[in-house]
Amino acid sequence: MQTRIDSARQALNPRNQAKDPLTRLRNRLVNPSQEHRGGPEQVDFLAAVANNTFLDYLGTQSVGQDFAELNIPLLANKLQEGEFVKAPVNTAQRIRATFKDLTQQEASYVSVWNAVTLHNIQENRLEASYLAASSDKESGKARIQKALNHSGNSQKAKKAIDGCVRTVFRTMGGLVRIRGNVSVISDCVFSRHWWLGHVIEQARTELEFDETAAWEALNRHWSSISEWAVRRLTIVAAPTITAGLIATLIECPKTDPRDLMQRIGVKFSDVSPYFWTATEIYDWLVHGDRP
Amino acid sequence: MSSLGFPCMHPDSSDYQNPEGYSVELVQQDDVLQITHRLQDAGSLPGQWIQEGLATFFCEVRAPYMLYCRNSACTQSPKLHKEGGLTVDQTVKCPDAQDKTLYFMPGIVLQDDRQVKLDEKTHGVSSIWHDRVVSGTKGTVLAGGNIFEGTDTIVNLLEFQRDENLTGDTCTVIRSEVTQDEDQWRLRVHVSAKTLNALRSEQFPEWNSAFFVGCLARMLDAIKEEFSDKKPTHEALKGLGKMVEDETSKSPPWVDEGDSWNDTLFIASTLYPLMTPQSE
Repeated sequence: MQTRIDSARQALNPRNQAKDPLTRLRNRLVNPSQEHRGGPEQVDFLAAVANNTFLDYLGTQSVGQDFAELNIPLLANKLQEGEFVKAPVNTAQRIRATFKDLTQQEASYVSVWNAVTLHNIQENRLEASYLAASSDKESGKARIQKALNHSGNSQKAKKAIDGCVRTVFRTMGGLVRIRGNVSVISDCVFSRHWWLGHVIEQARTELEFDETAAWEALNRHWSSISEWAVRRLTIVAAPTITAGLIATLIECPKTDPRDLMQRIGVKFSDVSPYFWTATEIYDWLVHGDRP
Repeated sequence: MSSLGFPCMHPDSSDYQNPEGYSVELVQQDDVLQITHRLQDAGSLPGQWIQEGLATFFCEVRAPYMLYCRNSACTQSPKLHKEGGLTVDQTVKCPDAQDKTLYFMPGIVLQDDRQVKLDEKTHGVSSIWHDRVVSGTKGTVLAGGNIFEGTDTIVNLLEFQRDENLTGDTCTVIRSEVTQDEDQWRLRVHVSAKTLNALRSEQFPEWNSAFFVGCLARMLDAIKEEFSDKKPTHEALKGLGKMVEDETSKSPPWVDEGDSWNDTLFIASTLYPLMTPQSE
């Protein structure tokens, strides 16, 4: 049976080339050798992103454009850049709701999110230039213009151009080659909201807490929590532990989640959380060990 | 007497007189993991507590790349053998992780908080624990704690595809190609319909194994070509590298410098029984 992972791969690589064209492009553009950093290939790429001719540019690189078979819904309305870069809770929830049908497996694939993001650009639900924004203080277009207008061939100019290229790949689907698997879950904008919603829904089957407060708390700390859950302390992904962690962050908003995760790491290094309820984990995180 | 942590039966620990007293056999097929738990001495502390219903066999499954971490306790009653051991089979559902790694952590865990005064003779612990009073919180791992990697991912690295352009006998000319994107790496081997049928049947096992070994060697070589100047980021390739080291005590061909075709063939023939390539 064809999965949406297969459909995304096929959509991006319609000629079934041995090496996926978007991966080939990424290999050339991200982490190029020093002499190519800030070079014409990166400049052309960014110009296409800024001028909203990104899909045409990708077409010239043999990246597919036919996303009709993806079977993944589009966002209902066009997003403003501010909403895309720093989504308020209701926008984030809307994004999650749109892509809710994806499975956990599908949502962890770069190809799927690349296809979803490009499909939404194609159907004018967002502009390609949003992908280059790294904060809500400066638009993607302005960031690219600034990078391209840096005078001369300075290291600073090269670095700025290189930085924009990386941001585009990270935001579009994730940059696994550089950042590892956490990049899909944390760097890609649409994926990030999917995962926040997924984790909260799973956690709410274990423990009751305010959903909006959970979105705010988790969104604030998602970079560190996802990093720990994927790389450093994978037990954090156990639903009872995640639920206890979220409830604690809502209750004690000034707490650093890394301190909580360190405690979880020590406690559950030789103890399985299987017989622990989320309430017990929450109590333990807030009040410490029972005497 | 003092209250310490808790002794764990684990091959790298000297907490028990027989640290290797707990073992498992794992067979992963698609989305199901079959585990056979074995505890050699039913009279040891973990064995006593299992029989009293205070502890249970369990397995944790993790797929960090998709934030998956689930535990399941064994629901079957263990069988007590004449020789004094306990065994039980457990079936665990796994997520579908075609190109990425699953981790399994089987063991024996305590079901509720418990305090006990340890005895060298009756609990099987080493002398350092004798007469100590220890407290275990629920979930404490009494035995196990080893992490096993799923092999399904690695199996998927080699794929046979029927090629309508290829005709003729089973020994027809084949071609292979690397296919890859961000998430997946494969060596796709094109074979004729006849060859594919021959591979699927058990009729010519020796021919099949020779063919598979050849394809595996080609796959190892293709990885070497592709990743001569960079490390593979694909989880399946990382898993394969670890498997090569564990099973052959050699570095994977893409890590090792120099002419290592003999090593590649050796690795391919050693790994062959562990890998059943998939076909379309």
